[in-house]
Amino acid sequence: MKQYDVIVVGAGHAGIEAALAAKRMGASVLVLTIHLDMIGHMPCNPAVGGIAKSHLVFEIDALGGEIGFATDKTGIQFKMLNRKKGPSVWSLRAQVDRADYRSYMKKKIMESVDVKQGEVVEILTEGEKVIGVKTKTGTEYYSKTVILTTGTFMQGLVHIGMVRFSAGRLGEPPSTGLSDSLKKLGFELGRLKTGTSARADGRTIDFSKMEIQPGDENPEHFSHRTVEFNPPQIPCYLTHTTPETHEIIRKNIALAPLYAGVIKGIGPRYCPSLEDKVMKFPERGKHHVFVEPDGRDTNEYYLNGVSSSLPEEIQLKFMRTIPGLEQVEFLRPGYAIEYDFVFPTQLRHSLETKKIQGLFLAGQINGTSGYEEAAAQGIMAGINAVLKIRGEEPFVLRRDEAYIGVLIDDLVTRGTKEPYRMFTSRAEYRLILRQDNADERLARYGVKYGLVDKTLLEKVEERRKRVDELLKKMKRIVVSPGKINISKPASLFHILKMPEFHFEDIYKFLDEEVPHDVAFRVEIEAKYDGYIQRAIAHAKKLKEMERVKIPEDIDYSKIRTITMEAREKLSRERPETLGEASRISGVSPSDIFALYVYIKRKEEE
Amino acid sequence: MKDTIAAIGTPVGEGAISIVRVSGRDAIPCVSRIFRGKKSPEDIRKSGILYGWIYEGEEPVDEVLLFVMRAPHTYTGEDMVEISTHGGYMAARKVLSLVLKYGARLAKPGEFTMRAFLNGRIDLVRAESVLDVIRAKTEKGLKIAEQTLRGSLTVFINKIKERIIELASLLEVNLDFPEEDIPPTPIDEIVEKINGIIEELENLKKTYRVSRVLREGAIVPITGRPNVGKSSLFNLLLREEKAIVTSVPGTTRDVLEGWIDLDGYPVKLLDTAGIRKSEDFVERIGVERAMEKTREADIVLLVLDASETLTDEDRELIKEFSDGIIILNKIDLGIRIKDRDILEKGIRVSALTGEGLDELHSVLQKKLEDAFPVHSGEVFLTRERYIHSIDSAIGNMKKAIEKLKETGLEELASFELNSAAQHLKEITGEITDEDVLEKIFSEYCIGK
Repeated sequence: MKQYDVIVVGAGHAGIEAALAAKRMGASVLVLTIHLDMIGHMPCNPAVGGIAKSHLVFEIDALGGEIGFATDKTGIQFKMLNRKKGPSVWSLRAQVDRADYRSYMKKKIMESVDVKQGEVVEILTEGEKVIGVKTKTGTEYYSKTVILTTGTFMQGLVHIGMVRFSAGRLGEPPSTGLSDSLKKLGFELGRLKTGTSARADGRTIDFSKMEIQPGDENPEHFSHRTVEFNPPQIPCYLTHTTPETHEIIRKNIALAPLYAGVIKGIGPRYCPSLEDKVMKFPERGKHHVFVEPDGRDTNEYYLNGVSSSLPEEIQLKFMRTIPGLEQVEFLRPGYAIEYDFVFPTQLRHSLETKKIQGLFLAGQINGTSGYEEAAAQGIMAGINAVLKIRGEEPFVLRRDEAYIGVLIDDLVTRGTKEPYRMFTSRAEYRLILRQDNADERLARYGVKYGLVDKTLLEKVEERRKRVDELLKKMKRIVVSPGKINISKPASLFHILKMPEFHFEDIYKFLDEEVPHDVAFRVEIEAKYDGYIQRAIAHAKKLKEMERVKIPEDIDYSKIRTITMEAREKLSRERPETLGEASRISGVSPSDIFALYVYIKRKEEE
Repeated sequence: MKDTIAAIGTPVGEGAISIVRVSGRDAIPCVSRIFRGKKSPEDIRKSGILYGWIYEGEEPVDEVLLFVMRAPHTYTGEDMVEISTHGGYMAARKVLSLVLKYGARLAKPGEFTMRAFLNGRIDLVRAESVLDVIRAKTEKGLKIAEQTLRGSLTVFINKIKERIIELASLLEVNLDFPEEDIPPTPIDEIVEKINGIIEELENLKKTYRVSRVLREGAIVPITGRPNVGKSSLFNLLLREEKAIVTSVPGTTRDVLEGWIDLDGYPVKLLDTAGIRKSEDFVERIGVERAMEKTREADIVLLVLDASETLTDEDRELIKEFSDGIIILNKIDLGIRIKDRDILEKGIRVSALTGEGLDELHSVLQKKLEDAFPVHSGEVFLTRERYIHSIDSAIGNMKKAIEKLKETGLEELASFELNSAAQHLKEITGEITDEDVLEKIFSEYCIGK
């Protein structure tokens, strides 16, 4: 039997990135999926990116990942969100043709790695080491590492009203054996819930009653690999719920499985069902409903913002109280799904489990929500699986380096009780972790691990040089008030720092051609002047903390100066550095300080 | 901090008892080795008092009471034993040396309190207020130190910090949920709230003057030209008012210092050199120094000789220290001053007979109360260190307002607000670096 380097279980957004990254690093890879035709499927809204999620996509792209490039290829509408705010929170979002995306990814996976349809029911181990997996049909596959990316499939249970049935997603079988296998290996599992909304038949929607939401006039794209880019910019539509909608929901709330107590899993606070919105914010008379096209060759429309697990007929009833949806017919109803996840504090920063060597977890199995969050973990797990085989140091991004670093650090040190979604506010170094500098931050790692072409790094460095030169030049050139609307002479740099001026306004004084990607970064760095430096100074302090390694054989029970609670938490989580320890909840700054003193004294002894 | 520390906790000198404090994981076994009584400290489960003798080998050293306290509910948060020996220095010193011989090491200044902080028993503000309690010179000073020790300032700062973080999170909603139909909080409303916090912090800062005076004393120089009776008045005040024994040495030899407790206000009286125009170089330096001291004063007592008419020098001094208290001394010799307003303003005193002292007392007291009011329940800022942090926090908040008003760059405003919260955390020690801690705790006496 063939022995693989890496077996990836699951072919969603995490699985795809994991498999492709491992392959790019030269590993032999097998992908096992429960349904061969659903590779790269988007079970919720057909969109990639959005606030903070786009940051992840840009970062994945700088590490050679696929999600950005695939989105550029199959996107039908691109829009930059938060344009009116500062550049650190600008976020690109794309509506994607769901079917195109799937077929792009299926092709990509099939031409890159071995793929088989099969439901994995058991993790095979030898001692505390993974050696492969076994499928429901009894076939065993052997490998040095295994990456689990099971999404919502483990013990998946779909709810529509009081009707419920086992499924991985609506219309797909669940994964039933794997949870037990993980429990047998000693993992602690929890249960989460998520939901999605109904898909409407476009022929039954009256778009004239809705507000058109066009894409950007000059759309930007995600991937550095994208050369030709000309998306059709198909519009979305905006409408809203009405008091009647809310009334119907209130009347029928007992039929909502979550409110009837049928659902035990915890749902995402930040992506609530309409039932939740209505019950929790009774003072709000209406909620937005975005009507998003599912693709070019389909009549399907995604109704974003009204996910529901009420009985199908109630869903239809309330939907028809929404302007423009009076005659609506569903193609598929909305539903809620409960699934098993593994408490992510059982993972190392490499996403390898602490218990079983060579076993990695990525995506929703770790308690996250979102395609981008899944893809980010996938690529990191793929890279680290290969590094593990090579016996090299794992690839861990710090919180001041990437949103990916924030995401994984949050998961493995703090854990999560609800589906974890990325936000810009989770990143304390937000001002230096922008979409526009993702390549500057991460391309060198991409090149180091052989994930991206060297030319990317050269391009990035060349651009950096240009930006620095221009900034210098702008500090030198002083303009008098007559030439531009300022009250006293000021350098171009100073002028650009002012909120009312943009690069176009000072361009004429520079007397040279400046490409768009350079100009745009020059403006950001002028506007953020001072703040970037402060953020870097903050980050330096963090780095110092991160650098203090906690000895592996440390016995917390002997450190009496640390509180009982912290001792317990530290003994359980076994952080690798002081920085990690500081982020564990229940560990106070004074505990950290005491720990620091203890480590220092130990070193001196 | 695995080692065990010990020190004598009571002051040097003859007294009824002295206390040797021991803290750390070996505190109890260490003392057990030198203690003989009905029970061993090892037998105490939580806390208890034991009677017995300290022995050096077979030699009894002193008759003692042991206060045995087990972690974590002790001052330091560690196992502790306090050995109450007979008074006097020798007994305690002998016991301490035995404790040191059996596994403890001598504590550094403030180390007991530092451990309390590091073990999470108290925050930094409260740790520092322990020092203020120890050093309190008067009842009012003790009151605010105790209040701070109980956590009044900590609670206040933490509440402000929470409010700042709350405001930052309102901005975050605008940033992270632009498309959701969550109505954004209007910028004006946020600005208004930030301004409110700034105002509260500015008010808090003002209390530092009061706490400083209560801790370090109001500086009250007695000034005037030579031979108006300044030293007599100085001596009279020291003799008649409640004197404070202080170990704080005088800062300059040209100026005599004396401390009195004026209804709870510690007052540092300075007997300065007589002020006059002089040709003599050395004397001129003395006069200059006296003037300098006087200008830094909280309240000036300007002494005039009532039995003589005013000189030009007197008039200059009256002008210079117009908000001071004018004292017309030597009224026992008759009054020759003619100026009506001076006669009205001046307090008539005889340093010789003590006449008029009560009035001087009450005028001084009123001045102190007006300048440094102590309202009950008020939160006091008790350290210069806190002012630096608060100033930085206010600076950040002003920047945040600027960013919100001018540019609408909410992410920068949020950054500033978070920085402000960080600065407030420095006060309570939520964020600390080692150097700051070393400095703070080195101020303490050994044994605390």
